[in-house]
Amino acid sequence: MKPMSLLPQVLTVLDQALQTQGRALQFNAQTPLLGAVPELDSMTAVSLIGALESHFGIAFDDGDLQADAFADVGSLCALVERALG
Amino acid sequence: MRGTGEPGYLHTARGSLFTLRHPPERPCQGVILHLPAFTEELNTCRRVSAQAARHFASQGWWVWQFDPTGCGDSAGDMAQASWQDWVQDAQAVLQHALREPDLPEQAPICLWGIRAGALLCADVLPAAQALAGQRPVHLVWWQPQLHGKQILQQWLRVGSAQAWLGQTQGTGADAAGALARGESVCVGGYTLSASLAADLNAARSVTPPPSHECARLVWLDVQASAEPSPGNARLLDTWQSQGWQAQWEPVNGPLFWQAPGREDAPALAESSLRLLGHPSA
Repeated sequence: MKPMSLLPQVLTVLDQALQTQGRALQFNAQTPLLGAVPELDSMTAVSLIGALESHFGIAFDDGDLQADAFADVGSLCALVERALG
Repeated sequence: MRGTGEPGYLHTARGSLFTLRHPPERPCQGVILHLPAFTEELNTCRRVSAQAARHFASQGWWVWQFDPTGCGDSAGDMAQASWQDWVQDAQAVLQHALREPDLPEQAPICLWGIRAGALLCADVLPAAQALAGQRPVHLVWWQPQLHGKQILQQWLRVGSAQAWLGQTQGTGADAAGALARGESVCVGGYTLSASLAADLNAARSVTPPPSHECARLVWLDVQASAEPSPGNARLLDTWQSQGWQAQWEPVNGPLFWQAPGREDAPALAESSLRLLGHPSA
């Protein structure tokens, strides 16, 4: 799957895991996450990762879960794409 | 912070257990023992569980809450606590709760578990059934986590997430490695011993004990979708096959275990009582 076609699904999971009340559905690939979305903290980040794994049926490699994966929506999509193989 | 409820201490072989006792405000329907969530979730769930305890008491239930050994206001150090300590803590509180003089003989017992507390419920269940005698023992689970391994992984990930977000150094892999070497780790302010981690890795609710005739399993998940996840659906079937009246419902509400919220979640308590077959007011 190309990263861009993951975008709507990733945004839906992001909205639910962080409970942004629909705000995340308006994001695009360039929207910054880390340090920019107040709902993103260590507990919701774990919930987000779990929700992405559950939704896409994937398991992230802990080594891939670094700060740069959370830089923006695009990097999060790329993380999912890598795990999808 | 604690809301209403009568605080007390119960003395056990493991030290003093902090308890909160909520007497029923109507003719007694039964006893509810709360099995709490794990580490930071014990705190994030306090508001919602306190509100629910008050609601249950207002509807006629004795409600008992406690802090497990090494947690909250109970004695002991989490670094020395074991899963079996926590199972025994729950048994001690239940035994104490059943001594209330005005508790009707046939009144049911409910083990009410939130998140990892549900796994604790499953392990406490056989002893609870033995203590209960002729009373039915029901289960009420909110957003249950029933695999100890997953509970441990999520908790280690919180530590990693602090590193992902640039708040600390180190990774979950470091913590997992340390535990594998028999060392304790400190993650998110909580110290987890290698032996508690091993207990968690082994703890998994797979074979439900057979139920008494009318025993109910009430399972609520906070989610938008109308069906349980495939994994949860399988678990519900397993419990059903052992004679439990398993009832699952989705609930609309805040993901209350993720952050200490200011939102209320009355639907959880109301649905719990409805699905327990509690007569409406």
